[in-house]
Amino acid sequence: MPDDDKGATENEAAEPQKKPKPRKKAAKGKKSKKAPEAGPPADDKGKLTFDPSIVTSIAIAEAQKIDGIIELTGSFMDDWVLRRGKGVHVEEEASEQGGEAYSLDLKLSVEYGVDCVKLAEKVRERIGKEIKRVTGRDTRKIDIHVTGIGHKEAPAEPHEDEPVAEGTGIDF
Amino acid sequence: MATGGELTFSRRVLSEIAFRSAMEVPGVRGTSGDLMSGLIGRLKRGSAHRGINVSEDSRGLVFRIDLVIAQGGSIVDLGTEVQAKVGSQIKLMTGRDAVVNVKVTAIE
Repeated sequence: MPDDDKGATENEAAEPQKKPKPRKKAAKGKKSKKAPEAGPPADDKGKLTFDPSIVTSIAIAEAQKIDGIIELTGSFMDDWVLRRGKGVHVEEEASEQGGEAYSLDLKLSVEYGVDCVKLAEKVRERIGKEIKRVTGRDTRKIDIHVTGIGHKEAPAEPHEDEPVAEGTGIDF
Repeated sequence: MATGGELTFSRRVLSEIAFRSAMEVPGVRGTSGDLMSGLIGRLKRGSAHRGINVSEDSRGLVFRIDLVIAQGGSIVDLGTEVQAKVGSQIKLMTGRDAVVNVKVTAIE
């Protein structure tokens, strides 16, 4: 949930560990007895959280390395209005093992002729592994929606320098 | 931990696969549809191409293809070949079973 990353700003370690002990009025007159104060907890180094957009970037970068995928395809609505990642929607949820797990929705276009079932397995495996590697979290599910089909454009070939027409640049 | 999830396809993608694989059969000139069904198909976003309709029922995906063929061939042979080709390509790419109904609408 997006609200979660607000947790990063409030540094829990900075919270005062020593609670002011309620002083007993009855102890007036006596020396206030010194209770051994509990030290700060041993390992409270702070909290590490991720913005879901990190996961979006990981998914996009990894998907582009997979053969058979042309691109991730987001709708205009997703890309520009809702400002979601292009073709990727990420949700965080509590996993069964405790902690957080991600679930992703991918929209992508594939090359004509590829076996989408195998491709989907590969996508789940590789993106899941990459998210695990980078964030340390599991990916519970990746829903894949094939929205386009076509041929991958060949990487732009350096075509021969066209002789630049001298003159005014006006074609007659 | 194995990652689960669903795999779904846009109708546009399914009809594109059907169109391309039908066009691979020699003797097929194209798919057709009258203007009205083409328009309705566009509006319903049912299909990327005129003359190809995709729906789904208990048997799996159901395609209806209106075919334009070249003169000189056997309609039966050609139609059967298109059915086989589209069916196998859909199975290959999406892993789903397809019923392909072919209607030859014109001979050029």
